[in-house]
Amino acid sequence: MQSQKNYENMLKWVEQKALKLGADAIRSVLNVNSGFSMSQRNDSIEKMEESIQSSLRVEIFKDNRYSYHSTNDLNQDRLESFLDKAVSMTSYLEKDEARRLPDPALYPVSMPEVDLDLVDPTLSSMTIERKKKLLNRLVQSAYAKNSQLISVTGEFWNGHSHVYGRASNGFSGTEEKTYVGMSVEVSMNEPGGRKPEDWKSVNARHFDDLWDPEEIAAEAVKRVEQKLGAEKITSGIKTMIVENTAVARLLYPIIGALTGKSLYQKRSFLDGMMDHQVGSDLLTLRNDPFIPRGLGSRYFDEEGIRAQKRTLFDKGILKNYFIDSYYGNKLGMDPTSGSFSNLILNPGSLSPEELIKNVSEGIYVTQFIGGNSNSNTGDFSYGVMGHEIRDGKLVRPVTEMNISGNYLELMKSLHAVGNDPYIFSSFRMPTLVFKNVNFAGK
Amino acid sequence: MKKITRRDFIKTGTAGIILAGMPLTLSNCLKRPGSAAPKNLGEYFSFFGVDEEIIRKTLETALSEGGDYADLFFEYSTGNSVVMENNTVNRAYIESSLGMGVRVLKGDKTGYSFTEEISPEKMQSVARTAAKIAGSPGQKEIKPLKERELPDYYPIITRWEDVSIKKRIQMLEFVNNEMLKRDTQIQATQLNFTDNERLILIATSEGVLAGDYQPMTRFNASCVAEAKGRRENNGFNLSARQDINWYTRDKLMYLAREAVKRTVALFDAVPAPAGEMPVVLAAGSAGILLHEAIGHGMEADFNRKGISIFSDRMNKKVAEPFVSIVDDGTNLNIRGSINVDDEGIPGQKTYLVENGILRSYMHDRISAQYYGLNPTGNGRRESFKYPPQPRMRNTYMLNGPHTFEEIIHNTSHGIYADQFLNGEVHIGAGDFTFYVKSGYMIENGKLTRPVKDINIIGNGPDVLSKITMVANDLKLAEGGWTCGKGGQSVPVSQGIPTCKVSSITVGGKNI
Repeated sequence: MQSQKNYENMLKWVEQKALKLGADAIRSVLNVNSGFSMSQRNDSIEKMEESIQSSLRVEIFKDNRYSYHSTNDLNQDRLESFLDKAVSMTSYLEKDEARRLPDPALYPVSMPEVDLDLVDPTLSSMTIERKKKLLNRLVQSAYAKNSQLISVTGEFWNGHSHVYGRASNGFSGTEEKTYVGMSVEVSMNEPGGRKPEDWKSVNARHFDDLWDPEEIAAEAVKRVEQKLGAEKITSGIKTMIVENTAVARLLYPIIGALTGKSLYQKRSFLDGMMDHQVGSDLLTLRNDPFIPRGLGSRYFDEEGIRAQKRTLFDKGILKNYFIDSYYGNKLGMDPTSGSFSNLILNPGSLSPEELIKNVSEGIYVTQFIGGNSNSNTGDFSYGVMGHEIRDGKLVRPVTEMNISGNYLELMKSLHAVGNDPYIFSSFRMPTLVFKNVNFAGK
Repeated sequence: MKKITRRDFIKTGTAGIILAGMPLTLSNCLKRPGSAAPKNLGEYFSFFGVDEEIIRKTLETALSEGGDYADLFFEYSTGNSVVMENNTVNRAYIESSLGMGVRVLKGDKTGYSFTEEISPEKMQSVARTAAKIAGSPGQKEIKPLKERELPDYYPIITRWEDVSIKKRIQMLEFVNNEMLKRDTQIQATQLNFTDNERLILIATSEGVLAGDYQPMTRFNASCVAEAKGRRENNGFNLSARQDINWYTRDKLMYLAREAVKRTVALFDAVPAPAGEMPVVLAAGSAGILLHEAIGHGMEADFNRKGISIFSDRMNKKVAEPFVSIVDDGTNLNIRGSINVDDEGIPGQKTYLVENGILRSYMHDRISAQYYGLNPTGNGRRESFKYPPQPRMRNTYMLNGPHTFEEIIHNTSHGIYADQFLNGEVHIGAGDFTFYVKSGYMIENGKLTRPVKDINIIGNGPDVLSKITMVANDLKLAEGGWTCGKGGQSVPVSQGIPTCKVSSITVGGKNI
């Protein structure tokens, strides 16, 4: 593997070459990633994969024209011809005044400003033998919890990635991250032929932040056991509690509606809502790039814009969109960043168990399956799985149900927030409770 | 980052993956083929800069630790994506990727590694990494390499790399103008033209040697319209293993017309009802039901492991006798067709259900070996970065005894579902969903008011048994569908004649 210096020099060379070939400006990003993964099914290793990969992405700006090119072939001779074609092709596109590199004042001043602790130095020396032992513990402890499981597949993975970024108006940055994770999938037989499945997956920047294999296995087994005998129940308007692991999937379209791209394309149900009360006062959502070891933590974004904390919704009031420099120019708005880092929803004080206890009739949703939403109107419809709640207790597993509604109404119906932010995701969301949700079943 | 994905899904639309590529001149050891696709293996060899000797030595190393079987997969993919946003063609994405992967099997264990630099040294190195899975003494013999004769299910005249960007821009502008002409309510448009080419070469320790050139294109057109104080967006897309000549003026006008028509129609939609009711599936992309309700569950890896709801149902009745379902790699120029799969097995047509009886799983090499059957040509992979898995190609239902009119007339109350965005399945429990972007209410045997944005959820075997009528108007999907499984995406298609499911749960509103 080449050294960091070599990669930085390669980007300098790419930049000089592209400018010489006629580009007005260029941004280039080189990504080098080494990865390993291994899975074990029941008693034996099923798969082992190992590799190193790299890719170069260049964005060419020429006479306000723009194109984007990527290759994994880093041979210098061929890169030269790659850049030549990239620059000459750009001339055929139409001019767009909004296409330019960000204002250099937005780039990081010095780097790094904070230590995000994104690299676990112990991972590179972890032996395959140790990984095999962890995997075996994972699989065997699932069977130890329940000998009726019909299949158990455990997986371990880890990797190391380096990103080198450079822009011709003064940005230069590198980012180094490790990742590591374990997961287990379990299946059971049920009378009638169904074979319900469930899984638990944990991933982090540092090995120490993962759960023990026994804990992961116990959670997966508990989840599948609780699914046994799931049935359809009648349609109705009920309270919905969404487990912290499932919240990201429900809230993702809200993040989509906050992007400059969807505003410019007139496809956002949050268009024109700045400073409006769009959610209940429990909805305080922040984008925080500076959480040590956070899965979404970063020093700068895809454009090199320095990371900053921002509040998206403050007590239900919309405060910030995700605006990159292109759509910022188009919309006449100041760029924030075009993408999220770690999303934090202000937690409440109650545990999931206490939240359930407070519901007389409702559904505890543990998984979403399929479904989609309408980005203009905010209408959504999703399949759900989970448990029926009666008088503060989970009474039976439910399946083959849909929810439908509208995001603008859903955000206002946020009724309670748990104290349990989910840490194995960049969506660090706690359990949420919504009132008056439309469920379709029997 | 890797993530567990038991969630197998399918999706369409502009949010798809951009696999685009720069027509690179690969000068040194790699020679770009001329205007024509490589015609024989010699041309594939020279393209990837390898010969039989290098291949043989790499396979030997791959089996040096006691592996039963090894294969090498060489791939070069390149493509272009040109975007027109709000009337300006102001963006192009170009991507190319080159590499080779080595897979070693020992029983049902897989060792895999790949390199992005195709040189004898790097190939040796990744072969040694992949070999480790076997971990036992012994060196299996490499059979003499023999070229596999392949059919051509996607004959084309013009290679995409010979098409200028100007031509692509002209098509975008033409469709955009046609859209704007059609309706004054249009507020914004977004068009995306994508094409790509994939060159693959497969060599196995059992002597199979096969090369294939796989073209693909997709044209997405979508728009936002405003009426009645609200905005709606929708679109349409066309995709096939085709060349530029496929995009006739009529086809481009059809694309523009459908994109606009489907958007404007949404303003008249009424809320769909909630609960169980009959659903009539329109001929065409509604084959998404088959992809989710039975397709994934019939992929043999899940059945070999006993974790699919179909694991115990082979040769049993799963549907009415007029229901036959196939997975087919041989349809001319269709998106999911393959001359050869990514393990070197020729494309073919596989009956999943024949006259209501479950007939065959979809196999890759590992599962075929496990069951002692011939592979069915379903071993596919996203790229050289992944080992193959059993995957679908074009999954569709054959024609049945009824007609469209009979089916509608026979339905007193229900939903007619005709445009779809995505679907998902849990293969063990058999629960699956698909999302209906638009359709109609059926009231008293007639199509009446439009409905939109509804998820439908059911259970695979239950829904198959409730297919009570099948018409004689089979149509394959026209759009670009992408299927995700185990973190890998592959292009697929699907189709169905108009058909009636007597009861399934519709995610509408409780009124």
